[in-house]
Amino acid sequence: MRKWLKSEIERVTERESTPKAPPAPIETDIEKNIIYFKEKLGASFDILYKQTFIGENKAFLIMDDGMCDNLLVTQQVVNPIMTAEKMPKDAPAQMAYIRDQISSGIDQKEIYNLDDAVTEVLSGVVVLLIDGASVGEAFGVQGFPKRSVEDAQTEVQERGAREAFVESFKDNVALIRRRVRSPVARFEIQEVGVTSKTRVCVCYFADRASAQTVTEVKDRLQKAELDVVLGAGYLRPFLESEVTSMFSSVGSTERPDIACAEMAEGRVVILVDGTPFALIVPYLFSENFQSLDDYNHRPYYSAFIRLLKFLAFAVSVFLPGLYVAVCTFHQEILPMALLYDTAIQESITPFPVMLEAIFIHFIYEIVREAGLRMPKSVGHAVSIVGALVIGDAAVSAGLIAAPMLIVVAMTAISSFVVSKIYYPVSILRFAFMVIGGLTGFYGIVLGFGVLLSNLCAVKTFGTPFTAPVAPMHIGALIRDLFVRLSWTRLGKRELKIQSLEK
Amino acid sequence: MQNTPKISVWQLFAVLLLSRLLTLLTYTTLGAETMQNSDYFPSVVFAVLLILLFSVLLFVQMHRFPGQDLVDIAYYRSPAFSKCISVLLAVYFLAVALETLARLELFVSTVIFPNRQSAFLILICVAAACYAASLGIEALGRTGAVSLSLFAAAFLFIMFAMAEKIDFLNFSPMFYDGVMPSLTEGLRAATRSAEIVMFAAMLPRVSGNAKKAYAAWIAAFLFSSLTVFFFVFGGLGYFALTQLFPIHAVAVLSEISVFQRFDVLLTGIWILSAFVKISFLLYLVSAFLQKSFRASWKNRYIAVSGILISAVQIFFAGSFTGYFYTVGLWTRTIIFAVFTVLLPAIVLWAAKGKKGEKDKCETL
Repeated sequence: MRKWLKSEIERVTERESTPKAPPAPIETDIEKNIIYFKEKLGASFDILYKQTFIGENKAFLIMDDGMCDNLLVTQQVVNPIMTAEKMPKDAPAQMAYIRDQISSGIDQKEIYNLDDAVTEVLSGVVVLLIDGASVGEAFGVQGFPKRSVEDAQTEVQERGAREAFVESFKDNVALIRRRVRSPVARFEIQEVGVTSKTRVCVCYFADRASAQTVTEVKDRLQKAELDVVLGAGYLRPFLESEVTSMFSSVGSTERPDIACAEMAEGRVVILVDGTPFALIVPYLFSENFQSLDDYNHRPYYSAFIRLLKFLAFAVSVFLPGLYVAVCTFHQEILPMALLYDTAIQESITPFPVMLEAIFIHFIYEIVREAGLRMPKSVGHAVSIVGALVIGDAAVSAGLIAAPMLIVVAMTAISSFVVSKIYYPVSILRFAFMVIGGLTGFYGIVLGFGVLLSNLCAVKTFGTPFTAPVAPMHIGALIRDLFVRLSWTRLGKRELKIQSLEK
Repeated sequence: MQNTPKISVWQLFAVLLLSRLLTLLTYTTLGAETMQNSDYFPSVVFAVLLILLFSVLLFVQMHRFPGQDLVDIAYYRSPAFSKCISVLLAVYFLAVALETLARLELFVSTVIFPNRQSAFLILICVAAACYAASLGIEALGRTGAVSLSLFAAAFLFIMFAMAEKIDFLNFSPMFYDGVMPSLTEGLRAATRSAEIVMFAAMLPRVSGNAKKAYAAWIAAFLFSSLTVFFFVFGGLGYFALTQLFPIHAVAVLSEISVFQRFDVLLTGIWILSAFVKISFLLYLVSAFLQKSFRASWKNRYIAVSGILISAVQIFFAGSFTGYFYTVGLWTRTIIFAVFTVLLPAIVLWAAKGKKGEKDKCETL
């Protein structure tokens, strides 16, 4: 069965593997080069081939229309070449003269093969080829349409910066660089995706990130077998722990300030071109309960908020399951007054408590998902309908008990407090409802045990996911986990993630 | 010998303390001697002395063969001898796991679900434990450490809630019936400390000062046992001895202000501790079988062990649960002595002088 399933998956996902040909060198005969380009790029209308003569040599400027800034092309490439007075006659000498004396742009490099030339053109670079020269010149004049830097949408901060990453990863690098003007900040580029050739930037502080982690990150990205990479999420599974867990051991953020803070602790941040979210490794479970505002508030309030988040997590995962377990098996633990009220309410509903809980949470998730995906104006309408139908009509009709509705509301609000882990929490909630309904408190504790051991088994680039709780590091625990020390103490020494490995 | 992952001695300390606290927590009057409640205090001291006595060979093992378990030491004599030892230890750990499961089953079927068949509940417990065991020793060590923290927090809370019910009149005169009941109870408590064998088995898988951790474990056992008995008998007096699970009775009766029914907390830590202990024992069974037989069958050993203890517990639940509670003190003592004294003595004696020869051969 397992073999059959595996073969079926392989059959439908099989990719034709063509042997990788060696890169084609730039020929001295320019016509051959242009034929190669046209064969590779086909009849795409956006690829422009500007034929010209430099001295007596035929030359081509090749560019992708939508990806380049036409003004820059004219100012930095075309005009200087056309108006050059002391242009040599020999093609290689012309190329050297243009490179060293003519072009006013800083972002330029030599190209030695046609495959690189094609990739550069598709990245928004103008490539110059001259008949008789076996080297090309690439001019960085990118100018594609992009979104400007805006406020973060998913990580709203009360007192943090109003800047979030955008889709252009060069802008994202600049957002980080602007905050950390230190030579230790390193940004290394790799390409992933056989077809998309998506650029990925591995960012870290050279004096803090472990060399082993950096190498492993690069290695894993290099080995990622992907055809097209359209988002950071595509790369996440390649950076995850070997142990399967519902909680991701790869963090993500859309805030450059958080990315800087993570790098300062020795972590590696990965920016993916086209995605306004950065990936962070190694990432600990406890980081799901931290936000940048914790460091902007006074320590006592930050500590309070942290505890509140842990409590909210417990409520959002366990409350519905516990409610189902108590109502189904352990009514004796409720105080008498509460027991009567709950029993009266539950007795008029037609469904068992477990089914009722699953049903209403299911409806809630549908309403949430609809509100999220619909246009904003319709989204509000969906929320109103959901609230009216579930909140009022269902209770009035006697389909759902009011205490259950309170439990759902509390759970829903609590789960948004720890929004970074909303998805695993929502699945776990359903699991615990079923467990609570079938095996009561006994099953819930066992479920908690399984969840705990699973979390304890996860290692993220050598660091236990549950650090600094298990293995316990008292220093880190009292420094910045359940409570946060004042900056007067916190600022003296930066915690390095490698110190939590054992 | 393969390179095994290691945990810190303090994680092992946490798991073993949790295991011993579970044994303490599941203390039941079923099959126990009738004795004065104050006699439990000297019995704990006596139990600690006996544990130290039973641990003499463990200290010898730690001193002469640091970082090696009995299977490794037996290997100096012959691979076949090593295999025999590993099978014997695996069977012992399987029996301890079965006893833990039997105690949990008794608790579940009498306190949590008195009117429900426990087969399904046993199955899910063992399935959960098998999964945790398959995650490896590092995961178990960390789970044990977190569970011990939760255990300590919940237990302190219950004891704090019980504090105002303490009445010194509840304590009976010590040694009213002579010293014998204390000695007998001490022997019973000592022979229920399978942690000595577990500790010896874990020596190759821990890093740090094992002797220090073991001393801390004994001190923690002494302190926690005395504290528990103080609160149980100080709060409930003789009533405690009429209850099937006296410590659970304490939790039911303790209260602070409007907060009541702390038995939920106790039930939670009880189940969690049992889960950790059974997982740990299944891991040990698998680890010993891996050592001497096919190493790649780790998960198969765990699964088969799980199926075995579930089947025995489900099909022979009545007789086995009863057996574990009523098994004669001397029978238990003999079994315990075999694994803490006789077996280590034989292995250490058999390996005497062989280690030097083997090391010499390997050097050459």
